[in-house]
Amino acid sequence: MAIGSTDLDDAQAADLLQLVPEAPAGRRLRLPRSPKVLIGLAGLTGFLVLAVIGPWIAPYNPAETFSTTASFPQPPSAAHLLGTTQQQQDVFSQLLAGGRSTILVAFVAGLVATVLSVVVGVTAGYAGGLGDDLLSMLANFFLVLPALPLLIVIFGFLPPSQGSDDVLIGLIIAITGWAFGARILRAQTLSLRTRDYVESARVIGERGWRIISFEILPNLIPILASSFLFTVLYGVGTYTALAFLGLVNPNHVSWGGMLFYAQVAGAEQSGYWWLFIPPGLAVALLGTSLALLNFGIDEFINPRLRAAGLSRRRARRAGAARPPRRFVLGVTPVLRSVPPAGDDGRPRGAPIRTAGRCSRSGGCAWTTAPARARCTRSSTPTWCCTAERCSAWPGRAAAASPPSPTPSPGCSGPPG
Amino acid sequence: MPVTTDLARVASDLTGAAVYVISRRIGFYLLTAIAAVTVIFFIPRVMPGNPVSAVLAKMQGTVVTKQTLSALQAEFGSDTREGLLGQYLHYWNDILHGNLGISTSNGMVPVTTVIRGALPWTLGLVGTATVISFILGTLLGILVAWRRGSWLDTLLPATTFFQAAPYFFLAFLAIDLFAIKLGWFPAGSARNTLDFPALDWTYISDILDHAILPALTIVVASAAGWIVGMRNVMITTMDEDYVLIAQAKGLPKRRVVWYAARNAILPSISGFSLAIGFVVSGALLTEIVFSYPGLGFIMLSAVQEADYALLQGIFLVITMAVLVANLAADFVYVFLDPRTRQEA
Amino acid sequence: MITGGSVGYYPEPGAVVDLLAAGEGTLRVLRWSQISVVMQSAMSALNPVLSIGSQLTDVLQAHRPGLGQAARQARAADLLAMVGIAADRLGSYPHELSGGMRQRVMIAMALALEPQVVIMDEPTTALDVVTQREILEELMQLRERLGFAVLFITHDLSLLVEIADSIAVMYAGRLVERAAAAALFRAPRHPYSLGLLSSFPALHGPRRRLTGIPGSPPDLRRLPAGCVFHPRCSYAMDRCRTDTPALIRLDVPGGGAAGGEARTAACWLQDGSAPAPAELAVPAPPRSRPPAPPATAAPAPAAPDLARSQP
Repeated sequence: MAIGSTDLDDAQAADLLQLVPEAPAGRRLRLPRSPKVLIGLAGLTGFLVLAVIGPWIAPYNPAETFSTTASFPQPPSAAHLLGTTQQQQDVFSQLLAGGRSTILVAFVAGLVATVLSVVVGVTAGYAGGLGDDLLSMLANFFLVLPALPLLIVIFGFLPPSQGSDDVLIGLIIAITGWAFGARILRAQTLSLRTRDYVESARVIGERGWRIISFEILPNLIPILASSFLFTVLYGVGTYTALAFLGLVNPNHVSWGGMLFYAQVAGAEQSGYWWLFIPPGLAVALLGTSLALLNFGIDEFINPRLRAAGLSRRRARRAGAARPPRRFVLGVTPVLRSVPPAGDDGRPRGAPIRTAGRCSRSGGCAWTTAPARARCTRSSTPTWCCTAERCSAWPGRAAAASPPSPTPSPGCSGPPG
Repeated sequence: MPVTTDLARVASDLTGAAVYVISRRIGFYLLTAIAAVTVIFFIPRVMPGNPVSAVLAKMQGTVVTKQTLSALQAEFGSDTREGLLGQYLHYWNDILHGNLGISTSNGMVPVTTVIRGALPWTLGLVGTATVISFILGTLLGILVAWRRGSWLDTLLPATTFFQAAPYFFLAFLAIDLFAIKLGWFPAGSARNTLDFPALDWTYISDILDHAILPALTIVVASAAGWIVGMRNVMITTMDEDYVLIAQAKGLPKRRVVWYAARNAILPSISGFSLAIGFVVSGALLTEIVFSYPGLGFIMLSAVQEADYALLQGIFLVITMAVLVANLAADFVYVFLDPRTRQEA
Repeated sequence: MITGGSVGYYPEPGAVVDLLAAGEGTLRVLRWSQISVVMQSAMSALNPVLSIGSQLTDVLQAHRPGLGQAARQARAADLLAMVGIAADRLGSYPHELSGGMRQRVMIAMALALEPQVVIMDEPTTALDVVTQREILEELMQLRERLGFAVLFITHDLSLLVEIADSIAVMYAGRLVERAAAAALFRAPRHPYSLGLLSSFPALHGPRRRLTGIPGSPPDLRRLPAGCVFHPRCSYAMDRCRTDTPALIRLDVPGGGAAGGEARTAACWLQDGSAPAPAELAVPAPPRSRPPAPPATAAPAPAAPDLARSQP
């Protein structure tokens, strides 16, 4: 009983499945090429460049005051692209110069926190037993402790002279931010530890640190990268918050500091948008780049998170006439270029009404005129038989196709 | 849905092994609380510089009595009559009696009084906003995961922007847009201070009116995190065999999604415990921008006035609140996941 | 992802539903009430946060709206009793049951609506041999009692020969031979089937050199041209390297599968152009059971059991 269909040929199917030729042997770090990653990478690179050259390309010295007579911030003009602060300093120069300390602090925090999390997390996961319990408890303690209030207390007690050393600030921020990554790394190490190649290395007698460095760490690299980026993101937010609160030396220009002065000048109440939107936007965009990059790495680690395998654009490019059925939970997607038609031109498999009448019935009864199949009722579902094939659409007129002289099995046949 | 049999099962379970599991968590939180108090005790003593003179420097212009001076010295350890351990025990004694010190920036009233005045505002705002944000974010995350491949996926990068933008920047924007330009909501503080507090509708509506913008800011800033997190977990869960079986059973789609979500919510709840610290921090910052008289606001003024006792007190209270929230989340987790009720 | 072809379900003689083209409504009614599934790992197939009772009754709720709560619970208890589990385990969670019990629960769940076809994907592979045997015995009894067809997927050919009526052998994702169980066992027609049968020793009969199949299974992303089996086949001809054989019908008298289905093999040796090697042309044993009665008489015969073996 042939069921006609128009199949896609292998080339179109291959295009849809994106069967790529196998990469050459060896461990190559395949970077995902999704647009998210590219945008994030571009943004991050831009900000890194800005951190380096920012103070050099700024039109004015960020601390230079331009007028002693004006007492409130000036809106953007030709001379000052983003206006001036209440102290009559050029906002644009401050914006360019402010990136450096923010990025420096955030990266120092990210680096130190990642190192700490690797040391604690991997050791806890690998060692097991009491060491694991103690280190886990330490990590949990730092996780539960609310970070910003703790930092506010620390920086509150810190004498102001120390509050402008970027590296020190980064270190202190790292102390509050390492625990999250440690927990993730510990979980991963625990699962890696039971893998065969690690077990065999232990049986051979390789020393612990060698196993960690050569067997376990290489597999943790994607997670490390994600954790690093996350901690940098956290560092950016936290440093900006601390600067906004005026806890780090306000004479040090940074985006958070700019927001602090904006708050002091009552920017939001008075509508001095150029005081808080540029630095805030800069922080937000830096954070977004980091988050997008992190997103991309997450998708790399867990391929299931990539956009559902069959996007409409790709399907249409491959020549599918109608868009594929939307991704359904857990079910293999079915794609055809032309839906198979039923006897009467209706697409096969149009839904059958189930409750009440016209549910599947036990047999088909032919009526005299007009010749049409009718469903009778019974408990197990069946289909109405018409012509020589049974379709799944009960109750439709069989006049389109001539009734066959011999009814197909299961049909009681036309009367008379 | 046969919830009744499950509930009966849960009830009998919770009197058994679950108690053991929960008490372990309580034990951990107690240890954490003790450690937190210890950290607070030691910070002023290990920081370079002399906190007492710093406080005195800030208090220039007011009369400092001898009692105040000796109280400060006792507080920060310059008083060398007791050894370190003695001071530590003395500190514990104070705390357990509810004595958190004297607030130097608020006219020498006890710290507990100041905190008690600010706590309800913070609990009301941050508490409700966090819960709303969690529920909203979780539901949206389920929706985005369920309708994968649709236009909803394009919203995800937008959520990363809101996740990355600092809370106070969003607060600034909210004030600028809704309060100044559109004038829909007031731009700050919790209520019109001229009104006499009374339990009538005008008072309550005034409170709500002032609370909407800060709450909105907190919800928008934190929901993004829940959305993405829940979406990721849902997608991983939807690959599980039992979701496939649920689909193969011909169950209605809502039921299939419920089965998946029921499992996916578990990592989300443990994520909630982790994230609550972040959310609280962000919420405190939002309070500051809105001049909302909660813990965040008075914490900032405490820093600026070098009111260390108040600072320590606030930190203690915040930490305790976070611990309690974590405990609540643990309870919910044990309730939802039958596997944790058995200790192998 | 499926890009073509069709999957036909025959609910009764003369009727067919193309499952790939069927709409959501049709599928939802068909699922579980006509076709159900038992998966390999019951631990991952059972929802860990719900009791097994609720997982048994949710299908009843979805497909039999007329049943009340009490009736559903009773039916769930019946189902458990059918597979030999006490009814008081209705409130248990999957992690509280042993592996064998979980698999039994899965079988009970699959039979909840008395389907016509039960697909079993390696249901006993993860269990120890004693439990395996118990579960298979129960399965056969249930099959006798309820009269459903079983699509049994496994790599254990000796098991299939014992329980299946008809066996389909797959290699590299394609069907290479299909025959009645006894016919396949005694008289294989495809070199791969021959290799499989030669890979395990018989407990009786003349001593035979034990051979396996040389080489290893192919990478599914880079299948060989022509017949996929030809690199490992000792009978490979030149034609095998270039032309992919389709399933060739072998109209051997008395060698057809039960139910009147033809015996097929996908091998150029069987296309009739030249006599096949002796090992692949052993006369098929006569069918041990009587041929199926014609469909028009009396009640319809029990649907034939179909079993599948794959590398």
